[in-house]
Amino acid sequence: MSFLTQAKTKRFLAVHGWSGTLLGLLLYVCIFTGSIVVFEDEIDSWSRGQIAHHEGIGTLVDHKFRVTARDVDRKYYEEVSIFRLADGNMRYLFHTHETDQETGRIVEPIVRMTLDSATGDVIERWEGLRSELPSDPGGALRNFWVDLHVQLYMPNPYGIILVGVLGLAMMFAAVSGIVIHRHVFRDAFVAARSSKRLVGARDLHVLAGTWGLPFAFILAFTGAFFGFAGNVGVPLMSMSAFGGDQEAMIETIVGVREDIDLTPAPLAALDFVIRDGMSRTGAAVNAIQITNYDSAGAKIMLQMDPSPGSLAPQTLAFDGVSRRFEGEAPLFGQAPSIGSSLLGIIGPLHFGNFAGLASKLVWLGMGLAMAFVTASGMLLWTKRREQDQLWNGFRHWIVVTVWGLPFAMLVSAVAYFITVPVADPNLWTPLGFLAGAVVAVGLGLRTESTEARLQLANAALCLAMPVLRHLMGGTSWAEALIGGGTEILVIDILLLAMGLLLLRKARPAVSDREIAPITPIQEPAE
Amino acid sequence: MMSYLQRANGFLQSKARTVRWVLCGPTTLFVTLLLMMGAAHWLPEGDAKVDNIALPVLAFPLIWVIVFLYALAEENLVRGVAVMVGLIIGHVGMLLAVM
Repeated sequence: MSFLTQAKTKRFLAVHGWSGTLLGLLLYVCIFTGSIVVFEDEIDSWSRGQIAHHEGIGTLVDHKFRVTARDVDRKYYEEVSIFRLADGNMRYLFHTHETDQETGRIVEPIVRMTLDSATGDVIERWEGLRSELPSDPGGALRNFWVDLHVQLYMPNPYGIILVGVLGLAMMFAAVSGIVIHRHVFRDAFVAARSSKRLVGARDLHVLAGTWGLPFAFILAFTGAFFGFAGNVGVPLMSMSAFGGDQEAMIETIVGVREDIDLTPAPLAALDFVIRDGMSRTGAAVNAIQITNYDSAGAKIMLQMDPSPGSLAPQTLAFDGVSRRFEGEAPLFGQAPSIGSSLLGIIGPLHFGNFAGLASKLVWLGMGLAMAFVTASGMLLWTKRREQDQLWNGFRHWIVVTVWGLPFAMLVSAVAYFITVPVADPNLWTPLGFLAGAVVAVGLGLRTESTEARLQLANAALCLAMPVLRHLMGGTSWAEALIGGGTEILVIDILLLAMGLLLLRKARPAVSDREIAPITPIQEPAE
Repeated sequence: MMSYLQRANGFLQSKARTVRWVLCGPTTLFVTLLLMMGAAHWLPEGDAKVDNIALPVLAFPLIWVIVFLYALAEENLVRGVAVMVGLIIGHVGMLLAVM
C-alpha cells in the first residue's frame, strides 16, 4: 500500500533512513532504558532490598502528624506534604518560600522528616534549602536509570530537549515507515522468512514496526510532549497568551488565593478526610498536601491513586478546618476542562502504570519491540551499504551499542550494590555505567565474535546479579515470598532467565572461532 | 505573473535539495512554534480559561509531524515555500497585533 509517487517515496525513505541512522543510537538508548524504567518503582524496592509498600499512606496519620509538627517552626507550615516512601517509612516535608537577600531569587527552605513505619519515631530530620536536599543513596540506581532515559544523563534542559527531538524523530519514523512500505498491511500478517539474509531481517523489522506502530506513536508523542512542554511550550505560551507575564499565567493556571485567613485554627481530622477521599474514589490516598497548616485558611489536597477503571489519578480538595469537600482539583486550571483532562492522561500513557503490573508488562514488551525495530532498522540501512568500509564499521558499532547498553546498565547495578554500604552510590552508579561502557567498547575493538562476547558478558552479570544483591544484604527469596515482595522475586527470576537465554545464545558462537563470511545480498530490499 | 512564477520555480528547482532541507528543518520548527503560539488566540478558552493554552502545548508534537510531512511531501516547491511563508507572515502578523 502506498499512495506516494516514486519521488516522494524516495524522499521519505531517505529521511526515514538517514534520521534513523543519525539519531538511531540515541533513540535506541532512550527506548531501551525507557522500557526498563517502566518498572522504576519495582527496581527501586528491588535495589534497596526492601519489600515495597503499595497501600498508600494508610488511614492513621492524624495523631502522629500533629505531634511531629509541634517540633517544626510555624513559618514552615505554609506547605506540608505527607507521603509514604517505598520502604514503608513516612516522609513529612514542611516548607515555605522566601526571597534570597543576595540573589533576589525565590528559595524554598524546607524541613524534611522521616518517620519509622513501625514505631512512628522520627529517624531522620534535615533542614535547609530544597535545592540543597541531599540525594537519597538507596534510590541511586533507579534515579540514574531514569535520568538516562529522561535526559540521557545530560544537563538540564539540553538532555530533555534532545529526548524531545528523538520523540519527534520517532513519530516521523513510525509514520514514514508505514507510508513507504508498499505491502505493509499484507506483510503484517506474513511470518518472517527464515533467512539470515537481508530479506529475513527486513521481514522482522516490518512485522515488529507495523504491529508496534500505535504504541510507538503514543510513546513518541507523549515523550516529545514531555521534552518540549516545560522548557519550550509553556514559556512560549506565557509570551503569547500573557505577554510574558508569568505571574498572570500562574494566576490563570493554579489561581492565587488572596486574603488567606492565617488566624490559628485546628486542622480538621486528617484520618476522617482520608477516609472521605477513599470512599469518594474507591482508591487509596497516595499523598497529602496541606497549605497554611494550623490556620483558618488551611486547605487539604488528597492525591489519590487512579480509581478502578480510570487512567489518570485524581486530586481532591477539602477545607482544612471544616473538612468540607470542595471538589476535584484539576491538573491544569481552576475548573475541569478538556485541556486538563487530556494532560492528565499523558503521564499514564507514557509510563504505562494505569493498570498495575499488566499494563507495565505490555509497555515493557512493546518498548523492547520498539528498541528492536530501531536497532534492526539501523542494521538494515548499514547492511545495504556494507561494501563501503565506513558503513560496515558503523554497523559493527551499532551491534556494540545494542549489547553494550544493557551490559553498562548491569555494571552500574553492580557498582550500586557494592558501594551502597560503604560509599556514595550516587557517584559510583554512573561511574559503574561508564566503566561498563568502556569495557563494551574494549570488547568491540575485537571484531571477531563481538556480539557473542557481549551477550556472554550480559549473561554473566544477569546470573550474578541476584546473588550479589542477596550478599549485599538484600531481601532473601523466602523473606520476599512471606512479606509479599513479588517484585524482588520477579526481577531476580527475570534476570536469571535472561542470563540463561543469553548464555545459550552466545556459547556456540564464542566457541566457534570460525566466523562465517557474510552472505552477499542477492535480492534488493524494499 | 506566470513568468515570475516560472522563474521562481526554476530557481527553487535548481536548489531543490537545499530548499527542501530549509523547509523541513528550521522552517518547519519555526512554523510549528508560531502555530502553537498563535493557537492561544483563536482556540476557545473553555470554562476554565486554559484550553487555549493547554491544547496547543499538548498538540505541539502532532503539529510538528504534520508540517514536516507536508514540507517533505509537497512536490511543488513554489507552493511549499508559499504555504510556509504564508503561515509565518499570517501568524507573526497576528501575534504582533495581539501581544
